[in-house]
Amino acid sequence: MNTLNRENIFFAIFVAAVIVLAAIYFSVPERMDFLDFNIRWWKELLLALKSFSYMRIEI
Amino acid sequence: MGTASYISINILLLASWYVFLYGKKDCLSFADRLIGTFILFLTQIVATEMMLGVVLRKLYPLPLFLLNAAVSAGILALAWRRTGGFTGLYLEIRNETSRISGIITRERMLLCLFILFLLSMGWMIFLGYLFPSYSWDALYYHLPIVGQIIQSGAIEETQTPSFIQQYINIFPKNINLFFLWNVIFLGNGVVVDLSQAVFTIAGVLSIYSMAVKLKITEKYAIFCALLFFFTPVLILQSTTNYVDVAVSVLLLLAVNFLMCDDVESQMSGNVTGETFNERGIPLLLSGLSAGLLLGSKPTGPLFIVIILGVIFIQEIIKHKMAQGGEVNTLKDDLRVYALYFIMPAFLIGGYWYMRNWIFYGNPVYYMDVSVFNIHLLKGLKSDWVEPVPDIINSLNYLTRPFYVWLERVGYYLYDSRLSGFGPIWFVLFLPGIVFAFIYAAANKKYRFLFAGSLLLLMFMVHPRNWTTRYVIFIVGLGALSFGLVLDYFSRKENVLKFMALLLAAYTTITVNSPCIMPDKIREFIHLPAGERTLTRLKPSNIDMKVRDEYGYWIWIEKNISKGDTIAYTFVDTGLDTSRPFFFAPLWNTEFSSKVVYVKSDNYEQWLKELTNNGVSYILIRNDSTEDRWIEKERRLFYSLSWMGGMKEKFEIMYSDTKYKIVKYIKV
Repeated sequence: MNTLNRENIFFAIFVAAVIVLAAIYFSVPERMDFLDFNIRWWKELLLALKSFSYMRIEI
Repeated sequence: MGTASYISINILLLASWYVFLYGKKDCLSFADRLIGTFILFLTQIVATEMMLGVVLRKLYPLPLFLLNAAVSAGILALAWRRTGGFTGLYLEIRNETSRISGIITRERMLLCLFILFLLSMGWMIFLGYLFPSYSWDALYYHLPIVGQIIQSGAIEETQTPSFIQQYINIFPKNINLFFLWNVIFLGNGVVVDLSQAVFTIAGVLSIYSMAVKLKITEKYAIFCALLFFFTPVLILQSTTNYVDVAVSVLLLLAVNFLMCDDVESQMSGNVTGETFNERGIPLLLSGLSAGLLLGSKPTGPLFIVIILGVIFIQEIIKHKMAQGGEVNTLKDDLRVYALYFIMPAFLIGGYWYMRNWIFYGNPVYYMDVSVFNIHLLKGLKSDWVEPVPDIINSLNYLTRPFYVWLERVGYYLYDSRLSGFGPIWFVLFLPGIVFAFIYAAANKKYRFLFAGSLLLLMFMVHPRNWTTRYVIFIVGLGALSFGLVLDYFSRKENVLKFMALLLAAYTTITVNSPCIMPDKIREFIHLPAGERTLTRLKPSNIDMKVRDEYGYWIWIEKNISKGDTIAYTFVDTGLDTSRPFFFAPLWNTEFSSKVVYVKSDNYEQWLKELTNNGVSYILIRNDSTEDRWIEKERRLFYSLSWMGGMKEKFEIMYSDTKYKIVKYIKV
């Protein structure tokens, strides 16, 4: 029982640390620029896929 | 023919070493034998290329193929008798594959992570195949090293006043020799930028193997090994000709084999004598990894000093704490390390330092050597080549890495800059490391403490530990620690695995570089292989700085053919990153042309040197001395051409506002 309790406490501490670090990591102001760049990248990829010609693939 | 010889020689090398290590299965696990096969494969490549390039000066495709085929055939013949035939080998591979795939498919989240890994690997290989090598250091010195060795068939110094040429001369070239291996048979650079991807796979395998040695449940060992892969700088650099992934992975491989030493049993006195196979083979593989690492980058010696320091401390502690039952004395153990670790490490990596010592009087000529402000040895530079960003200068030793780990950047790049470890490191691995060290210390997990201390100490003493690409190995420690965390909290594993999976998915979709934009992917898919060139890619990492160079690069791509020699007549005498002079685009895409530097104080001597070097084309800067000589010669030719019987020495083939390429016609 004691071991189980200790494990639960450690787990709670670990998960709390993870949540705090995730909050710090994802809340830096530059994260928006980073996501903006990646959203643009994926939009461009979708556009590229739409105009993709399978007939002209070169190996 | 080139492709067939490349594939067959690689299969022969890998098969021969796998069969050789199959005979050592009493002391090496299946994963360790796969890793060992890779280490021996690399060692053979480096050793045979050095034999042909340094000693015989015949480093050409045919001798290299024949020498390696002979060595591998010999190993295969010797080792085959002990394997018990093909059936045993086949059955082992089949059984291990189905066992591992069984573990992966039973766990839904592990399966999802594995699928993500496969997709990322596939995408990485596709991009590496589709695009030419475009990274800064690849164009600056890694590929020129390959070009210079291929054109001369020798590993030798090239004397020019160029700063970067001097850097090329003193650079330890083990990984460059692997790049060369991926060019010389194929006769092109299509797969050379995927050289580091092989190290990435070896890195994932080594984390798995280390986790198993730490007695982490196998499903968690696989999970944490796959998480190691989701490191942005690792993924992005796997398709470039840098050497940072290789260096970090070689360190992890060396540590993995050092962990074969069962410290925990020895400290508790449960040890009997070890055979050569049990101790010597893992140590030898570790020594070879360390040697490959030593000869891969100028910081190699620092890694070796730390490894040896930690081994020494471990041995002293081990012998002090051993509760009776000791078989070997400390002296015996250190002798074993000297024989099986230090000697192979020095043999496979020490050559470059000996060479620097002989030629420049400083084994680590990369930079000045000072101890406590006492200047001991003069180097090429007094400090690191890359300047420290202002923001880093304003921070202290502890806050610098944290600033970088927060990744306050707009995108990832292969050379990491102020980012590169991704969210898994910051969110999961950092608390994991703290937890794992406390847990290991409390439970006397000496193997983890040894490996962890080594990697942590290496990270702490690295002078640029805030540059993530130099210290990728520390993510390995994070992955191992997270494996221990999963093992300890196995009853609540799903919460942790779900968070890890989310972050891995986030990493997969955000690890996009501005150097490879989707419209370029579409454009390049539709181009014939020969037209997928650097000048079409115009990668953003160099684009702004080389717009004046594109013109003559395109001309070289289209017109320089096998056997042509192009002479350049100008150099950068310092490191000017605002206007770099990239060497690699001076070669044609097949690396079958030659590039030489020809400069002289007087015209007659210059002509003589052009002739002696068999120069076909000359690259000159407008308004340079050579430009004036050529202009004078051409004016003379045209003013006297009415006389007839005269041949033009110089024919202008390409001209823009900054450069000319002139055909040199020997009269």
